Amino acid sequence: MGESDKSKLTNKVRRLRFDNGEMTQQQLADRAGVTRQTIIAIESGKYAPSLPLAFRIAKAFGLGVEDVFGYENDA
Amino acid sequence: MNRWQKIAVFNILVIFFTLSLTAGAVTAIGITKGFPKAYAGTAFLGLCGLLGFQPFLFRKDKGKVSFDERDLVISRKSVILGFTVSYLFFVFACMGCWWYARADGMIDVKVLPVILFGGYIMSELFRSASLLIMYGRGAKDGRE
Repeated sequence: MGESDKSKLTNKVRRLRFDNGEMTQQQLADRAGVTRQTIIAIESGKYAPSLPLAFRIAKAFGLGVEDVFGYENDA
Repeated sequence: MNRWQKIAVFNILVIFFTLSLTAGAVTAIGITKGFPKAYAGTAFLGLCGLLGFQPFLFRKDKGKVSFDERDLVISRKSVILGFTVSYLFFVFACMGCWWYARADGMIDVKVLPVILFGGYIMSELFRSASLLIMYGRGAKDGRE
């Protein structure tokens, strides 16, 4: 955690799930190879995924990682 | 609640049950037969062996992902906290023995296994409690 506390990783996972045929959290979890709890934590911004996981989630939607995740820095 | 949370709850329940029974036995024997014999009550600490039944009671779901990177982060943090607490417990227990016995005194040999058991119990208790807390609020640092 070398970054400023004001930095924040944002994501569009919830919206993309609904845009992709109302994909369930479990379906996305299965595709990304994680538990449903981790998807919930990512969607609610409580957990910042590792880079490989971010790529897997983006791949599950057929998008690039920058289309799913964003980075805000208010500092 | 996932498998790791269920195991943590099980650990906490077993530890509280064990400590309650041990405290009750030591107190009861201490009142009726005096104090050196009351150490027999610490035999109930052996009930912590029930913790070894975790893999049989909480089986892994076949084919489903039950442990991922977030679980690993939470698990690592809780193990570090558990180890830290058990280490501090051991240090303070040793200092307590030193304070109690002074430089030329001695402590009862029965105290040593209690210190080791105590350290283990504290480690498991804090590891399980911190794991539940971190799952509850969500670990914020997959980027460590």
